[in-house]
Amino acid sequence: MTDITANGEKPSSINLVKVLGPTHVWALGVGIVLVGEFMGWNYSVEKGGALGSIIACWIIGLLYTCVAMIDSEVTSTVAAAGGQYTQAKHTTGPLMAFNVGLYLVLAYTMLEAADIFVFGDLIRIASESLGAEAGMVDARPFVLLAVSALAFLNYRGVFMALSVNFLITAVAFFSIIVLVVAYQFGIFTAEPLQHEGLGMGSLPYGWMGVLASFQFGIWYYLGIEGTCQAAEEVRSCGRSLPLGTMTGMITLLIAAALTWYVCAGSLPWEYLGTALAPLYDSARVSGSTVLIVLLWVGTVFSALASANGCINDAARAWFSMGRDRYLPQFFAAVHPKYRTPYRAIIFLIPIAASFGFLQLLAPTITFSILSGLLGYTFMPINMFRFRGKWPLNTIKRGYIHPFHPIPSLVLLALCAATYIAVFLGFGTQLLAMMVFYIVASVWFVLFRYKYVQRGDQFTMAWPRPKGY
Amino acid sequence: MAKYQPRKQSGVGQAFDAIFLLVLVFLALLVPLEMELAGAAKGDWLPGEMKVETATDGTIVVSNDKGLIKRTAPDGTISFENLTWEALEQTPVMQAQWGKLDMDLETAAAAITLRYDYSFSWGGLIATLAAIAGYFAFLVWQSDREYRQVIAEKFGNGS
Amino acid sequence: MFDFLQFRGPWDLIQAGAWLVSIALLLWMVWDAIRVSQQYSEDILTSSQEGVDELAMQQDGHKRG
Repeated sequence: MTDITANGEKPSSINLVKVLGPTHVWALGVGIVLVGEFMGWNYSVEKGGALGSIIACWIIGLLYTCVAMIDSEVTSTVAAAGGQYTQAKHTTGPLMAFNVGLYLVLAYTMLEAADIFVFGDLIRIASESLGAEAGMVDARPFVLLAVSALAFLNYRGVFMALSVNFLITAVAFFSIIVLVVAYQFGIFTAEPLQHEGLGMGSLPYGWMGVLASFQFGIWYYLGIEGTCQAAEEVRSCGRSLPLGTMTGMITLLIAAALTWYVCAGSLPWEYLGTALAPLYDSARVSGSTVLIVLLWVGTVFSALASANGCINDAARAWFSMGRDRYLPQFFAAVHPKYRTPYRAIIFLIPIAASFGFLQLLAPTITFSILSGLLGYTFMPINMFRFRGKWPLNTIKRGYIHPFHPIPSLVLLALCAATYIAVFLGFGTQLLAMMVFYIVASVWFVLFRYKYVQRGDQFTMAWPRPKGY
Repeated sequence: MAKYQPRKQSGVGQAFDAIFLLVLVFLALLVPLEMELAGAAKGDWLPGEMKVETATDGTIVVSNDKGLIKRTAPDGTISFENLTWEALEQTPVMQAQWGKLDMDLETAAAAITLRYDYSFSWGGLIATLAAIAGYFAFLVWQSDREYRQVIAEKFGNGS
Repeated sequence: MFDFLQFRGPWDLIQAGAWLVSIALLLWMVWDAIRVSQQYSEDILTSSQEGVDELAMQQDGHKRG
């Protein structure tokens, strides 16, 4: 890596640097998502019971498989920092790209807010079990500490930030494995897993509850598609990105199944459905201090890894939009020494911190889930336009997904089902979100589009699209 | 085609745009919360045949066919009558796990006797889905118009 | 009103430390950002281009297509 601030000729341009490998991609993808197994997914149990939750986990797993297939094909061809935003401006057009960019920024920033809130609350819980009086320790300084320390790490360079993410994500994943093994083989704890005794086979709300639990089923995987945000900083992107994303998806499917298995076998569903940190509670029930401490550490690390990855992804999406003037150009600055989108990183800190301070976990998560869901609804549109404008033999694709158009159609149907699920649980918030995106779109068309670059934003070396 | 040169935006304009989006994000999250409509509220629930009455002093009394009664006073205090683990249909395994979570019968009962109501209006559902579909249709349509300008500038006119 | 000035144990110190460290980190980032803006012109700071691989360009004089 060359430091262009070194004395000598004046630099003509400052770009992000390609320093990341497949492990960083894995750490970015899994790091963001793994916290979903430590908190949040269990709201799907509240919606539809434990059995409903695992059904939702599988069906939403199918949704994400479709997303990953489509994403891999387009990303293996479009390798730039904005991820789906960059895909949207190449395949669909500026207004769509503006909306997709906002989905990305909001999905990640709200997820980050939820992460740091959980982090602060875990510190508070730990302080109380270490003897502090209830109510004496305030979670907010720790919320702020988490966000500012992680932003600082991101500010100083992507390589370090994602290397740290790899370490803490691996520890968090390891803690889930240890918990399952401990329960299964009676190490550290004599407690058995008792799925039957806890009423596993029943659906308290019937199939309606299964549908409703789709909403938080998203939380098992939300953010895995964020790997393509790193495209501009990954060495040999065409190989590393699909590799990191696929191994990440496999890790998550394993982690989700194990998490559900151990939690549903140790906690009554009425409790599990509203718990703050279900895996930690599962360790508490085991009665083993080793497991309690390990799962506390795992939960804390997963929250930090997720917030770290979210800062990375949200800032890159915000930065890319600034670079094309979809947002003020001010945010398109790259730090000359650390090579990071430093202004975007700083700008997003107060948003995450203030939502973290609000301490409203379920609405914040819903905000994030809805933004993610709107992004997944865009993926089939993306795919149809991509294949329509550049049929298979016209440009070189790194990966071609099979069975087109079936994944796109399945994805569309599953998105519709998930909208119904959100409507059942958070109908007003769904409408408020739609109003938000519609107002933002109208604002973009009327007041913002005039600042946007036209031909220059199309950066791929592709031939003219068919039909234009 | 002449290259479109976007106007350079002033610093004040840039700041305004950034703040505008920021305010919009906060409104989108806070307005539903202020209206107290963000999440589906849970209602009282008891196992078996359930009956809901409101007493003269405003207390909500929920009872079932097995004699279990849940009272919610106007000030929000909850009390139960004939409360047992069996009345809540909790197996011995469940009882033991509640115990390990440091939750006694009363605390557990407060969590168990609340459930969602998933009844909904078809009109509301169809209107919401139509709004989402309409939003995406508008996005694709408007984007396509703008996309033609991008392509025309990048590749020149005529295809 | 000045309850927060009372010392109630080690957790108060830890909390105060968390506030201070966070504020210091935030101030450093803002200070560094301002300093960078003064040292470099806005045109150079915002000069990054999508799809440019700087290392490849340095190595073989490869030009963007």
